[in-house]
Amino acid sequence: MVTRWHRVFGTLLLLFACVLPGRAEPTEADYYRIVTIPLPAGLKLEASGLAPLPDGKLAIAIRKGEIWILDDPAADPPTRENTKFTRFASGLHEPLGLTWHEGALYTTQRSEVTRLRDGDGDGIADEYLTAAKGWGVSGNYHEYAYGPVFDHDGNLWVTLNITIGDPTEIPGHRVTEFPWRGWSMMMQPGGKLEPISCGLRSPFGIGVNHLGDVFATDQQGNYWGTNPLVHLRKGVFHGHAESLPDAKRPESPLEHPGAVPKGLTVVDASRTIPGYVLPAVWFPYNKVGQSTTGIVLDDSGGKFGPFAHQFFVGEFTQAFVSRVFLEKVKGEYQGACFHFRRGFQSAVLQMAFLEDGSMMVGESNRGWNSLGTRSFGLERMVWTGEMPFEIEKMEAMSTGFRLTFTKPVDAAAAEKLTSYEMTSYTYIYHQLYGSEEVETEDVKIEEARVSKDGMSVELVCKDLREGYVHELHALGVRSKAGDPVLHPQGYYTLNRLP
Amino acid sequence: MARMGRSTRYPARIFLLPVARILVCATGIAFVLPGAVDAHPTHALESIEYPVVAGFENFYIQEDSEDYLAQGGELLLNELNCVACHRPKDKSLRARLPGKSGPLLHSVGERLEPADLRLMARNPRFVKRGTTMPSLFGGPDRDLDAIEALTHFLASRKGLKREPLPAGDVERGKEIYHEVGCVACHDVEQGYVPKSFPPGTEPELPGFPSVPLAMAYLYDEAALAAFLQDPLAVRPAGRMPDMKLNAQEAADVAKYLQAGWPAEEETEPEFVLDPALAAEGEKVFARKNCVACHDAGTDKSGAGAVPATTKHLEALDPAAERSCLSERPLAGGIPFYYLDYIQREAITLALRKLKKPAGRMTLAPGERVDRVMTALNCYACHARDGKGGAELARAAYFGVTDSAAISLGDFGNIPPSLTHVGRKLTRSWMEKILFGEGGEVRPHMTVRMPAFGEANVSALTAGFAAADVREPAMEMDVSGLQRHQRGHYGRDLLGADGLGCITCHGLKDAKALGAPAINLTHTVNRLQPGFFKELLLDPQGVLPGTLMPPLFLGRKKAEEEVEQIWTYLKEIDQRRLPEGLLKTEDFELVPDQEPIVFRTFLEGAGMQAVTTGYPAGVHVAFDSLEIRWAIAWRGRFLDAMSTWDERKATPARPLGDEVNEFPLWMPLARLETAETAWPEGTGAEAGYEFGGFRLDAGGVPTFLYSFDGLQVEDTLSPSADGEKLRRTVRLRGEGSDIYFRGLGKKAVPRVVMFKKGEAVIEEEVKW
Repeated sequence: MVTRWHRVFGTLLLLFACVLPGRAEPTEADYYRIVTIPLPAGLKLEASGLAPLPDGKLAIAIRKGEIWILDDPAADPPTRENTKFTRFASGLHEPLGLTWHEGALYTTQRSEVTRLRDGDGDGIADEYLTAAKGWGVSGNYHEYAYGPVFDHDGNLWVTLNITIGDPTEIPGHRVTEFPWRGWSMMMQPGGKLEPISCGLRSPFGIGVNHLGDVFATDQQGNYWGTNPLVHLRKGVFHGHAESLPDAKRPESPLEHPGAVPKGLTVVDASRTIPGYVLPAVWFPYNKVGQSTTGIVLDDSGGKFGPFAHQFFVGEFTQAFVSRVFLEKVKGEYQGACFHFRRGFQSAVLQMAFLEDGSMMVGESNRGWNSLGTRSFGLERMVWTGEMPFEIEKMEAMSTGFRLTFTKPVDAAAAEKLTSYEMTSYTYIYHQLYGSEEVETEDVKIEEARVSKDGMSVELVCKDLREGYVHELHALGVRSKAGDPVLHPQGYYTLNRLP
Repeated sequence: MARMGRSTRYPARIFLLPVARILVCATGIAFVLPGAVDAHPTHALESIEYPVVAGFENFYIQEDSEDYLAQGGELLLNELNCVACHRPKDKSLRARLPGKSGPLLHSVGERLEPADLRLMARNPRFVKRGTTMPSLFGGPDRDLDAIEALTHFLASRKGLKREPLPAGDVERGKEIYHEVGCVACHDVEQGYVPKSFPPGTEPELPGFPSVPLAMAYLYDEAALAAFLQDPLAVRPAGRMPDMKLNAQEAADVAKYLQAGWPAEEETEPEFVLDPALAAEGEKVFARKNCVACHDAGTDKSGAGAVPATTKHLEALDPAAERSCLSERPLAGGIPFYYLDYIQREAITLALRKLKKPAGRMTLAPGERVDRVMTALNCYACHARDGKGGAELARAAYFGVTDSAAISLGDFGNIPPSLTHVGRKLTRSWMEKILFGEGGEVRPHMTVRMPAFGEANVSALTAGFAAADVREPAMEMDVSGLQRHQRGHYGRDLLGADGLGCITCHGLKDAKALGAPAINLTHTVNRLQPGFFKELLLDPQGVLPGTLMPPLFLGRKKAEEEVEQIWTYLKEIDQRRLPEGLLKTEDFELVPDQEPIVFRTFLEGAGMQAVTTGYPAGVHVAFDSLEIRWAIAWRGRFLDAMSTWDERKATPARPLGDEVNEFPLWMPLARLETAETAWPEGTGAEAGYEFGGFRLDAGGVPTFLYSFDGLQVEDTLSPSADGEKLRRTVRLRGEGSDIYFRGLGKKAVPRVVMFKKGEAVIEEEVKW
């Protein structure tokens, strides 16, 4: 066990060594540079929500309950002179998301989704209208509410943290039921907020892909062996059992599956528990972060690089942004996660794309700790225009995986079987906090077929296992120019074989 | 390495992996026959037909290899104290098998009734299920007179001075029993759900076997409480450790353990102690060699003399026809242990191995430690090198005293792993913990580190240290830093503008800002410097699963920085706390210019309060859940600290005074007449829907809500002098049966008159 951790640590060190300046090998910074926005003195910008506005400004929700507007988020380089922050709204209760929709800002507070507008045009919100509410708040600090996001049909989505610990008792707090903790909720335009799916724990990030499907990230903990990315949709149980009692309510879209078994693998659990759908992607613990946060879709149309329609996912503890490729196999989403860019100044909470295709990154590490040099802030990640040598896509095939690269590969290196290593493993479904990787086995790669254009490699594999994470290390692959893959590890969650 | 309930008789060999063990455990549960087990942990009715040695139960099953099972046999030779009579000839073997003494019988006459003593002497396992005590009168030739004499002797053993104990409480006792760690070894009460369990979840039943609570109900209640408070005074072997219960807790647990048993009917004839018989009994006690295990505190009973007829351990023949291993009691006073097949097998293998040792008899430090941990069942709570650790179904009862600790995951409520502990803790700190002299650093756990008695654990300190040596040693040299007074570097690193360690680690009296990991005050006394460095440089490698980020990863001067922190922690008494722990920021909200609208958890207005502070010095709170004005107060407004900066988000409370609670009724109702009773209920239940609020040019909020088709705008703000509150309620809609009831304590319903679909109601509120 210890040995394994050392291996991970070694890998991390290696990765880190890669980003140290002055090396000949390409580094993340060669392709994506991070620009730190200077903050006015006294503004504790614990950025928990980012909403680019139609006029090019950026609205930022902060955890203490305010919304600030940054005039020119893309100013480059940003200085104290060309970055102007003004307070738009205040007095909100821990907003953990922000979005612009049909002429108004929407944020989710602890007990409601609020629609904010500046009616008299003085630049300060005067309408704090309730857009959606109806979930329980017992006063337990962990009852965060996240979102909202709007899907392509204009439906509003939020996710709700479970209660961890006892309800708080104070005078004036007479309600005794606190429904829908650990659920995703959705409201159609003009409709009411409805429960959609359950089994979530601490689902900070919500995002909509280019097809309009809605996803959420969650946190490793009890029932979650590691951090997942789940596809939110009606009637699904995502796995965390503490939200199940509400499935007995008449409004619940899923039937209560009964007592859940524990101590088996998540793969077996998904075959045993009615309604339990495995996450589309597992983020192996430590290897791809310890605490997943916000989700953003690359809809920059190529302005951010070669990853169109992929998700970027924030990481709290290790302060980085990872990347997720998704595909649909037999009707269900699954895919792979990859490292993308490390080295942010604090825990990454939320990301949003500006019109120019750069990514704003909102940060705060209050309550837990993270890598980095600051406890909060705002940064901007910009593609330098240089094409990184990356595994753009890792697609499942019935016989293995197809890797599509961002640049042509050196065929000789890519054909060599020793250029690759692959293992597969899964996690335990139990009430304990997190899970080891279990049932780890080597996956034998029998052939590596390089396409004519050199852009993709098909790996013919033996011993693929449905439901298991397949971890690839393509350490020997080189680009035509002789560069190694910038992030040679891919972690594919093979729920279904095509 | 097997760790299974015997009733499961799991067929496969199970290896060291903890996860595999969990799997097996969970799978095993399915096979456990519920049998006639009653809910209360002392009521288990299933008969246990063999001596229960926890370590053997947990780690040895018949499918193990002979070599491994022989280790289990050695454990039995020690725990059944076979070596008291069959003293090994070989010195190293004597060190390997020190034996285990039985309970002290100095005051046994106060703990148990004569009738129970008589039965215990005659047939121990009839009184105490699973006892390790052999039957000395089990054979066909048993001497009933000798038993009677023994009974009188034991009943005469009284005279312990005891402080009077407080009255116990069953419910409190039940909670304590489940959360301090008793259930690590003993049964849980089926159906008991601790408060900390998430709603709707049911506890699982433990799969590993429990040590029976076989005698609790026979004990005198006060004697039981006294025993629970200081078990080592009666059982110095430490297999039942001291859980550090105070007098009240001991009384509570005693009360609980005896709860539910019907009052004893006195069917026995009254016992009259016969001193002559007692004196005879003392001789029997010596003659039957009870003294090999028990000290009864008299001259003749105190000395343990091995009968001349017994053989050395090495000389024993496990295949002998007449031996302690027999399947049935034998004549001739041979002790009968009621061993089951697997135990006999294990002992047989052990005896064979010890007779012809294949290698050295001296144990390596790691083996020595493992044996002690197995015998004392440390593994019931602590994992070490992949072995043992709290069973999930039992650990589920270990709670937290601070709900913020829940986010530490298993580190919040489950005792720590002891892998590397020999190079982790300093010798003095480890002794402090092992000997029960303090040293606990996890106050957020309800489970306690018990004391096992110095003699029983003293071997562990050196054993751990020798077993856990790191090659090469991690060096930590801070002499230079100290010489040059460079502790402040470490202070900067720990602080909010450094690595932010204080987010999770408190120091001295200052609590951590976030999740409450271990307070760093005692670090330099507690941890070995090399381990401190090792841990910080690679948290996951040293402490798999820790939430501590790899903060030093990739830092060029990582080692130097760790040394700086160590230096600061050494000098902590003379230095200021790191930045961030010193609270200097002021979070009070002062509405001196214009109103401040602020949502928070608020005492008096619930979890969905929208408060407004006014420069006039009068402040109000609207409850957006119940959709009504909840409270108003005068003076200072609010402190936003707990809402803005505290992870636990403690509800705020009005800073001022003269808090006025508004009546619990809703403002509007449809009534048949003014005399109709005003409906009960608030918020959605009463037909209201909250719509948010609008701020006017002066920043005063108007609350919007609807009721039964009516659109309502409700404003409550103070007059300029702050003498009273003025309220304006605007309604849009229609209705001739709409009534309004104001905020005054004596307000009565009055009908609302609409003009062109509108109505405006004004009221003034004073208190």
